[in-house]
Amino acid sequence: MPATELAAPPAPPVVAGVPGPAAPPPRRRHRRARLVLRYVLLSVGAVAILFPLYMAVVNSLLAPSQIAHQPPPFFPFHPQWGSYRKAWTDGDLGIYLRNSAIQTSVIVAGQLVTSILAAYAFAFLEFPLKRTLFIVFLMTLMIPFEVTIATNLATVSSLGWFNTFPGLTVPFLATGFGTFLLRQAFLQIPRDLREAAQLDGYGHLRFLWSVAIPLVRPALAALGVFSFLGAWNQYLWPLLVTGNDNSVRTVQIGLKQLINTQLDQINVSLAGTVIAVVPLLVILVVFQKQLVRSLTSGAVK
Amino acid sequence: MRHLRSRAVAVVAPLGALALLLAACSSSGSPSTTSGAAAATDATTCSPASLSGSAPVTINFWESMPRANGQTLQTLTDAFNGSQSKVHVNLVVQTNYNDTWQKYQAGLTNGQLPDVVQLQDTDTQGAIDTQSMQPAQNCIAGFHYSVGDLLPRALAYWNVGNVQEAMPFAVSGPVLYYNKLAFQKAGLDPNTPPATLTQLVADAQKLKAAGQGIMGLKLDPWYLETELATANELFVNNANGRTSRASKAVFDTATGTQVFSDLNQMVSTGAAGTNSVAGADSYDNLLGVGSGKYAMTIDTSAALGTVEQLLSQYPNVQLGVAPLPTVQTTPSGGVQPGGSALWVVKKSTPAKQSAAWQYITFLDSTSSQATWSAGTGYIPLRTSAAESATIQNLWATSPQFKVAYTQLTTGVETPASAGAVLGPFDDVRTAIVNAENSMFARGVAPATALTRAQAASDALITAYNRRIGG
Repeated sequence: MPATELAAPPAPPVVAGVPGPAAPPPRRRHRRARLVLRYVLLSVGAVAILFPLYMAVVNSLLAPSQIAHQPPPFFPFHPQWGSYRKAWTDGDLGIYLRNSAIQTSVIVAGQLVTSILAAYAFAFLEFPLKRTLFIVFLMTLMIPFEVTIATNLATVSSLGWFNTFPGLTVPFLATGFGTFLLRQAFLQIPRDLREAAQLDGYGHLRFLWSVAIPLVRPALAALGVFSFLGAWNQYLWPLLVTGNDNSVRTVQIGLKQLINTQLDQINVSLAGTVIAVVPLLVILVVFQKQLVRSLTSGAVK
Repeated sequence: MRHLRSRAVAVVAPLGALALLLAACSSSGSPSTTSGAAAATDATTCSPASLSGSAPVTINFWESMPRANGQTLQTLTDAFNGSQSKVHVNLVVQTNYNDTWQKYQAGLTNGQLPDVVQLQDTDTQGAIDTQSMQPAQNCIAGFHYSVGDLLPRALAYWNVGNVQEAMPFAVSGPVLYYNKLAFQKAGLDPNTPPATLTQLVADAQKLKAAGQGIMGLKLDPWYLETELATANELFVNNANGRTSRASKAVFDTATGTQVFSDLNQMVSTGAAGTNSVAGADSYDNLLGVGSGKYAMTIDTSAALGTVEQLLSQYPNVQLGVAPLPTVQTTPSGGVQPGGSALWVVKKSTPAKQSAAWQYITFLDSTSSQATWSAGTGYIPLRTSAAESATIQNLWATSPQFKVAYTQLTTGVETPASAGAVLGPFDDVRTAIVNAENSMFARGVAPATALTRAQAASDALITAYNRRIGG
């Protein structure tokens, strides 16, 4: 019915040079309209999300005297690249970024390893108190980090880890969330597979490495990106556990120092912010596929 | 730079409570020592004798200055380190006052503390309550230091219970920034800025009517505090918490209501726009002067140097700086100081405490205060520094730098003009901002909003005192 209705109205006057019969059949036109609509909506969303980021870049390139200009300049016609150099040198961003890279990669690697091993145990092994232990793991998700911060700080200090990379990373090497996420992923693996592997003489580690891990790669990527974001954006803990020099301070603290600047240096603090957000964007772009796949994997099935 | 204060209270609160609890526990074994009673023994701790050993001492100083001011501080510190070989100061840049305070409280639990720390005005009672600070009074006694030349009101802010707890360092006051060109175009005399709140309201309305921009109002609890001080009225009881710990807020008075009504009148008639006091938005009132949105705003004098530098680049702005408009035509009180002070940490060795004191007195010396004030816009804290050639030259060429100094040195010296000390200062200020918001956004009557703010503040003070006393 809709198809005939669409076809019924008198054909619009044919534009010279465009032969009438070449117009797409109604079905395809319908589909194309939906596609156009979808892209319009996506574009609106993308603009809304990217606009603040774009304005940060624009403002980081403006001279301080242009920042309060009305109407705001939407394009830096005379880009002042000096603000980036200033943010990099004055803000010591080089060393802060290095520290953040170390801290973040240790935390991500640690969380992946511990979560894989713990999740494997919960998914494939039988041992006493398995359910209780798993519930205990889940309960750690209910405790906000702020509650344990003082005791963690005391522990780390008494271990002599104040102002060191172990102090910065060790409290985050295990995660209840990661364990939970990977356990659910492992449970999707058919039990037959495990038995077949056992018949072939695979031990736990070999099965884990050659069979289980490749099958849950999307979940691993999601966990990796998730812990990357969490670790990279940490503020309170690195602030408290770092000491009297810049040796292990992370980029978020450096940024806060840069932002706590004065009125005539807003472009410099924005330049620093842009520099610090670049690694995040790179990670997101590189792992976008896995991230989306793991986010939607439940929905598609 | 108190306008950089952000509200990370939600995260800080549990940590702070814990730190205070630990501090209270750790001291419960020893006989309760009021600072005054301990003076006799501690004066010998903080004294030249403690520093007379041969080994040089390195001390850590946690400072919270924004970058440009931090560079001036670094210059001063380098000069101090180069001037003698006994004490070496390691300048540790913290991100801002809030983070420094948070880190200090965390340090109480794990022992990672500095030897000198720069804390903002509102943390005064909290710092005393950690029982980890060496009152400056003891060092003054131990070193036979004379404070006679320092500005009385700046000292008074950090004087609690007749004990000088810390030494003022980066002190500023609220001033009126206004655009003379806008005044001119609106038919107002650019050389007669509003001196009272009533005039401020009238001028804001004229500026708005002439389309020359409005008043840029920060959602700042500071207005109420400072206006009460200028009217010689208390903010909390027990002489603003100075004779004994404050137990009640007392700002719900005719003067307080007047301040709230004036602010509300400007906002409700569209003659003033409101800006957040925290985060990046806290610059909007000043940037708005550049963009022409605002013709006036009230902000800290500490930003004066950079404000001037920035706004001088806008052809539509000719910056004027005037004293804070007061609620009374002839103020019976005085503008309270704002800013930060230097604290000696008691957990350090006597040698380090004494070294810390030497450094602090260097920073508060005549020449350092002159350099500091000229380099930053903070108020020179010594009469002799104000009379120095550096400052006199500065004031001769840029009289606007003198406004905050004059403001801090006129009026009476009373507990009211010294400003208030109370434990949960940040929370009380939040309660006042909430009250301001309720007027501006929901149309609550000024008197009602103020009464509610006082009730909320009383509850906060009671809860804090119970926590500390328990």
